[in-house]
Amino acid sequence: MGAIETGIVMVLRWDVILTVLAASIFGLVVGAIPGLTATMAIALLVPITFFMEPLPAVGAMIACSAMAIFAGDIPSTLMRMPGTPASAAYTEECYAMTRKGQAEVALGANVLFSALGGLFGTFILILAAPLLAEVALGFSSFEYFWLALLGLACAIFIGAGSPVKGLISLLLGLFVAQVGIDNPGGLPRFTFGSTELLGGIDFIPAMIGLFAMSEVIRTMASGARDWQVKQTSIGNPLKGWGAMFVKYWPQQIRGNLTGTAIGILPGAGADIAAWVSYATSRKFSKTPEKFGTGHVEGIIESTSSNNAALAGAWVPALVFGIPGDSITAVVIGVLYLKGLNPGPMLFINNPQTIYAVFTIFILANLLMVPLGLLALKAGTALLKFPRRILIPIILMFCIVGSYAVNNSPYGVVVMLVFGVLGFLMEEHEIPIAPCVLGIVLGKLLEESFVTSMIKADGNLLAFFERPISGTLGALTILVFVWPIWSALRARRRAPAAG
Amino acid sequence: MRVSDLIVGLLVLIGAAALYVVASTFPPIPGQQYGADVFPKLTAAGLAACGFLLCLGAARAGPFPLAWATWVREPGALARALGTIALTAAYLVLVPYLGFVVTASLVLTGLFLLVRVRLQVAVPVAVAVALVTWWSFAHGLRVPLPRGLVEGFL
Repeated sequence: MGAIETGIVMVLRWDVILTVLAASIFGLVVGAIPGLTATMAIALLVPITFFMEPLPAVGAMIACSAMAIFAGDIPSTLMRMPGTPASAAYTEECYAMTRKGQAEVALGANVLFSALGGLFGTFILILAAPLLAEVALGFSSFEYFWLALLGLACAIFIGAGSPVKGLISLLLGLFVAQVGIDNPGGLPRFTFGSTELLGGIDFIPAMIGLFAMSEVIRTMASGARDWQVKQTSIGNPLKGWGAMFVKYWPQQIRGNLTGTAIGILPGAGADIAAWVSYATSRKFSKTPEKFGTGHVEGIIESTSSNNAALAGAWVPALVFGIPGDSITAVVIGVLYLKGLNPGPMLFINNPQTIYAVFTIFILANLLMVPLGLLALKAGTALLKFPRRILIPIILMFCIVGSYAVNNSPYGVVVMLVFGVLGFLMEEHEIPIAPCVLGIVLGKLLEESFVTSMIKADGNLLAFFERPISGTLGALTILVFVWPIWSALRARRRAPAAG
Repeated sequence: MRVSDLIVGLLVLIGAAALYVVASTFPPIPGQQYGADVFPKLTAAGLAACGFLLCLGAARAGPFPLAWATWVREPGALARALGTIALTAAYLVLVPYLGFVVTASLVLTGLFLLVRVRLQVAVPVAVAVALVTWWSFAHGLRVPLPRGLVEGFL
């Protein structure tokens, strides 16, 4: 039996399928609750995956994230509140359709095109990852240094908001990665005599703090009031699928392509993909005046895009160990814990696992249609669950999950500290995602830099001497310089215009 | 709750300075140009630049309040945020003595009361959630959650 067949057989086991199913339902529930993001769903899932075999663990994360990104569209449409940030780009449009009494059309489009977008992204993942892995075999510390830096640069400059605040978040993450004894000098750094800090700051409790605890504090502060659901009965969401598919196929393909490309880019994920696709859709539309009035065209393009981005983000994660977005940042941590160290060697030593992962991607996106349709029916009931009961329970999960990582209260301390930090950061419009990427990529960045410098005897120009390394270096510098240059140009133009 | 970017910038500058001072104490790797201090120092330099830019931007924006808040205006919001943090800290302090089930029940009841769930609802729900969590994690997943007053009977 070849690697592909073995991979497929590995997935067709009852424990894997049941786990995927359970994680899908969990993802749908968390995604459908406004404020609880897909990354939070993944962070809360991680402690449970500790007790699973590697494949069900990875499968659970794939299914959970795909479902959560889709389910974010449900409260967007029904309540004008994005369930996850990836739905924010087209929330107004979906809600405008609800006001016109067309909630089922918007939700139907969300189910169908999310699943198709996910399948398209998976298709590109299957094609691109093994090819890139072959190229990556020739990579040395020089190329990895630039790749890590490129991922960090994209995280700061591609996201919306202030680049200075993005950079602060990133540097904070890099600092967190420096804590402990695991560094080129083997020296305890910033441990202040604590034996627990010697091993570094535990990534998973930090994630649970940044993504889940911070949201719990925010919701508790606002009083955790219940939501108002406007349209309670939803018609047949299957209505118009055929017509939409025929009429809007170019938008769908464009959304798929944009989403996958943004996903593959290290550091940028589904949220940004949806914003870019919605804007592109409006720009190239024959009827741009209909956008914002409850027009399904932009919804189709951006809902395709965010799910395609999810699979795309796995390309750099699997091939280089560089996360494509904050979800894959957490996933990489789990891959290491499970002994599936990401990198080109995974494709050589363990191809059947890679094919099993691809199979789970296909399975999860196919499952999205029936489960998604069920979720639409259950969605309104779910949104009526009292938030003031739900949020304290989530906090208890955060506590138990952080404890379970090492069976130590130290995890809970880390979670609490990062929860408060994440809360304060978001209150000050400092984005969290660059910090997470900094924590994940910090060690790789430092190690590859120091190893390269030892090889090159301290000659910094060595970073540009190898062809791929030089190209990646130029690209990274461009990503850093471009926003500064365009800001300066805009400033120069402003007085001229004034 | 929010403070002005000027204050955030100043805090970042102070943090950067502290980071640089601590990093300067790291000894070099013998025979190497780049040791354990290089990355912390680069991080400190980057943070200092960002802190400076943030202060500059805030000062340029003209007259500004030093701190303002959106939801803090709502009575009790700050108390609820601090209460949530305090209850999580209380969990850490109490759990070695009381064990998971009692501590979790107390903390959950406290959290429910913070968001005005009625006491007669809060207590049973808190106890039920604590018990279900205990059974699923301690029995199902074999997580050694701290034992205390009642766990021996469960």
